[in-house]
Amino acid sequence: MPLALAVFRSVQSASEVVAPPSVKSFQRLSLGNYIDLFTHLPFFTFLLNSLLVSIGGALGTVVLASLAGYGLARFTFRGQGVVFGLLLVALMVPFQALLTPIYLEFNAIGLTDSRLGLVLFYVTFNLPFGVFVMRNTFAAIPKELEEAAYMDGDTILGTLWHVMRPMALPGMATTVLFTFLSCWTEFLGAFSFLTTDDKQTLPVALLNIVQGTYGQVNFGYLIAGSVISLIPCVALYLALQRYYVQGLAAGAVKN
Amino acid sequence: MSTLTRHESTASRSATATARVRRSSPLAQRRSRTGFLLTVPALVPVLGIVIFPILFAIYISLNRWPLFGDISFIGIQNYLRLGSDPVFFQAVGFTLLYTAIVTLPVLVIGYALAAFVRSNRRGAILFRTLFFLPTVVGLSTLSFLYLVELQPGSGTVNVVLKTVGLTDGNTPWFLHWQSGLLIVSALVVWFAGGTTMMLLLGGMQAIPTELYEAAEIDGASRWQREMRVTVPLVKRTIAMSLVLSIIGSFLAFQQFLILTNGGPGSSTTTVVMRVYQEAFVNQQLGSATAMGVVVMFAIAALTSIQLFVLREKD
Repeated sequence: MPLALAVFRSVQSASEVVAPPSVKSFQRLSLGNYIDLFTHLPFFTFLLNSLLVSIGGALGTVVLASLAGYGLARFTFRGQGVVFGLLLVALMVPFQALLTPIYLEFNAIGLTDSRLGLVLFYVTFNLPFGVFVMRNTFAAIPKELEEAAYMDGDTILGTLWHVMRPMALPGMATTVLFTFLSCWTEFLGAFSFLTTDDKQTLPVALLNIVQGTYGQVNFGYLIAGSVISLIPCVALYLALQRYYVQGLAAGAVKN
Repeated sequence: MSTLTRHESTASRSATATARVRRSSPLAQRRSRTGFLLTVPALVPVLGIVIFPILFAIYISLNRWPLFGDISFIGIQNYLRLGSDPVFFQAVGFTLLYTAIVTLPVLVIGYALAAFVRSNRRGAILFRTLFFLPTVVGLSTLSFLYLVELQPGSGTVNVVLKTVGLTDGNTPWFLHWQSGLLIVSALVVWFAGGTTMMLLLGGMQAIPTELYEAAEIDGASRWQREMRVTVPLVKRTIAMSLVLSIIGSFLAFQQFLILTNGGPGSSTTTVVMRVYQEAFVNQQLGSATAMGVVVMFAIAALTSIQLFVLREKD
């Protein structure tokens, strides 16, 4: 309900958004807020930034998590317990508590105020969850096909790509979907690490609208911007609901 | 999978060792190294952006560390000063109060929703999707939408309250910390209720229907079936979602930043907001990091409980 209301609001004019509702407000609906958002504000840049860091975060996570998940599911090696322990620590530590050391570290190597730095940050904190999902995915795949590929002389990475990837797709979809959405809606990291206005992601840009960075607070812009930022979430969720619920069951609910 | 668990018994370890020696073919050795190499790309960011920062945080917290200017070692003074920092104390108190307020409603509503959408009928699945949408959309976007609907005079919340005659429709919700807290709590219960529902649903669907049928034959009422059959069987899931919800509340940030901006004054400032302010507004990284370390240990304690609860399953 509130989401539908938001969509309705977003096509009202700025003055009507902050006026008591009346019959008149149904008669003058327009896409004005959306057009203004893109023409008066660098909203396209914000959208692009959000897409960049979310896609970058999701792809980075799924690649690293697949490699590590495969390594943990199919091989026995010395130090496996240590690797596992480190991943558990990363799962347990809230990034909120490590803002300052990570900020100083990134600053020293030029990764603050950088979208690449933010992607690295996102990949790191989504990895433990991704590795556990991928490890379970690989562990559930029968070994025969893979061994046949080895016997045929395929390399480990080749086998992973040719034989395992098609079968591990559900797990990979879960990892990508979950990471994409967690990056897309992430606030504190982007808020702390990015300082230049044209590098901001959507949630922080919307906060800037609220706090009047772009002149007088325009609730029409705010609501239209919010609707744009919720579209990918709702669309991806409805399309890939099954994978989402699987990911949730894997236990990665951190706000 | 037993070789993966950290607490493997000596017996099984020596068995694995024997097995390793016996088929110590070059391929087996190569494969064992490959296993480690495959995890290296994931280990690098974990070591660099989690493990190193943890140690670095402890070091930073022992120094006077302004964002710009000279750094000097001061031992545990940052921690001692936290004890007498009234704003930090207030933030801890406020965050605990907020956590105390939302935790039970989140669980109860999450449970009720899960019980409501448990069956696999068409309508139930639709409601499941609807109730879970807030979680998917994320807390920041929800907070922005709420902000618009809470505006005095025009926001839907105020208009509805005026229509039913409860207020004059001009309530400035964020003028007092109590109403601000109330509003944010309501938002979060709506948001996290759906998350809890989905977690509990997973546990509930694993319960065989025969148990309910047996209970029904024994003459158990609906309420009794819920309390005697469902609750004991999803106890672990309840504990898990409880811990996750408490951690989430304790780390609250954007919902308060967007809706109340920590005010009026600093009355609705949460712990994480306080850490952020100390670091990036007051530019005192030493004391900010000391706060971060305290938060880290508090959360680690909570997560250990969660892992302990989940461990029993295996």
